[in-house]
Amino acid sequence: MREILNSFIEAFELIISLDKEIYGIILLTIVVTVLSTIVAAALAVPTGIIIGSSEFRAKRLLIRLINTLMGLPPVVAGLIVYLLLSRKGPLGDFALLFTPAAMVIAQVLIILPIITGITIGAVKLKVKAIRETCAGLGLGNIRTLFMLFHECRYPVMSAVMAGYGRAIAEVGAVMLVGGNIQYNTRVMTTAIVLETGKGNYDRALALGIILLALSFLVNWLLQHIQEDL
Amino acid sequence: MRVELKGIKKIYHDKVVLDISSLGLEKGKIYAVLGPNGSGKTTLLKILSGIEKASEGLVHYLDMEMLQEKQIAYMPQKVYMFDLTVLENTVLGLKERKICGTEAEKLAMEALEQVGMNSFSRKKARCLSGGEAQRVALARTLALGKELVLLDEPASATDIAGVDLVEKYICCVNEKNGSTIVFTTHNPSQAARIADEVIIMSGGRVVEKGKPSMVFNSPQNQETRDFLKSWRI
Ligand SMILES: Nc1ncnc2c1ncn2[C@@H]1O[C@H](COP(=O)(O)OP(=O)(O)OP(=O)(O)O)[C@@H](O)[C@H]1O
Ligand SMILES: [Mg+2]
Repeated sequence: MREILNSFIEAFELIISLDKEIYGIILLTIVVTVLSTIVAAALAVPTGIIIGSSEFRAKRLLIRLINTLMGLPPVVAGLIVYLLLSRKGPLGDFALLFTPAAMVIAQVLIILPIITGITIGAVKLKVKAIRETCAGLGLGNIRTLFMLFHECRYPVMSAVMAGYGRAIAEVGAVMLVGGNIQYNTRVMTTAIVLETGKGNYDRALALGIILLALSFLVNWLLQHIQEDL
Repeated sequence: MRVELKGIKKIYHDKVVLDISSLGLEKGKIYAVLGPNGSGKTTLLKILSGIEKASEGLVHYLDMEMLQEKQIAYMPQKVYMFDLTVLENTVLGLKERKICGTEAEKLAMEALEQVGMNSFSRKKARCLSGGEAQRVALARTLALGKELVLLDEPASATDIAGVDLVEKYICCVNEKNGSTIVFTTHNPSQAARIADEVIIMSGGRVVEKGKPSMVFNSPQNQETRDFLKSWRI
């Protein structure tokens, strides 16, 4: 118990001490997760709205597939990206493995189905009434899609938040494709794993606390944006 | 606009819910569609609006004056209000017609006034009561001034003063624009007050059609008589 308390105190000391390495790690974590979330949302939200609002033969199958991928273990996503980006892989020439770019690609892959899946679910609930009402008022297809987005903006925002939460909490994929290289691809989760393994519980705990605070901060910000919409 | 339906059938899961061999709607007339729950009134309106495709048969739209844009407005039975203000809800369809902002707002305000909702224009439409929302839904549909107007139970949740306003507004749009108007109702008195003709439906078929005074006073069909049996003034 004493040890844990000491770790807490040391953790706070670390946070205030402006340790260069720790702040580098925090910055990279923010950049990677935010970028992944933005890219994934830009692809997934329109896709989710279009799938949720249109009728086609393979729709049920596609939704089932997306729901399955929502539970895709991050390590597996990491493995796929690893194989694609490795030197002998189809995208090996870009030399992206063990770079932050690879981490973004892996995280986009992980959260794409999550945001798409939740968006489809939200759209499905309202699409019939909205489509009918828009058609009745003579609104065109693009306008109707926009109204659909407008009416589903709160659940869509939650979908994006869920995606972000997944990205910031995830270790397996960033570890695999990033390699946890000091000053380069080390993010908070991989650093926590490393420091815990080395027995540096204070550093691990400090990072854990910051990670939690960061997650809280971003959620709080998003909630504010949501309320202003 | 004049409309002709030929051999229309709508089938949901092997069940025929609409079966109309032939039905004509004349230009500039007001039609009231009556019939028991589940008799196919909403289905008929959806097919007329083009939102639902008929399983069989064709709908012909004839004698249109404006050809460049869709000349049909439709108010669904289940009112949906967008998460915008009342005025924004009313202006939405007008703006789509490329009517400029201030002109669209003026038309929208006039429409809201017709249903007694102009004082609510800045309110969030989601906060309206059921009857208030229904009035706004009617206003935003009639404001469009389309040649064919389809209203699914436009006053089912409206109070008696509101019903009076709504009926006057429907007649006014019909006179001013020469719109063909089809509305459904469960109130035969309402049909008698404003409709040129009533269409009685039962089990997906049109069982009787004619002037309200004729159909209500001397129904020719057993199903019409059964339907009107419980009607008291
Ligand atoms: N999407 C659907 N799938 C299956 N059946 C449907 C669907 N829509 C309507 N029906 C069925 O078609 C029949 C006619 O429905 P409709 O909504 O046209 O009735 P209505 O005359 O408008 O009734 P009400 O007076 O209750 O509004 C009903 O038996 C209904 O169950
Ligand atoms: Mg109905």
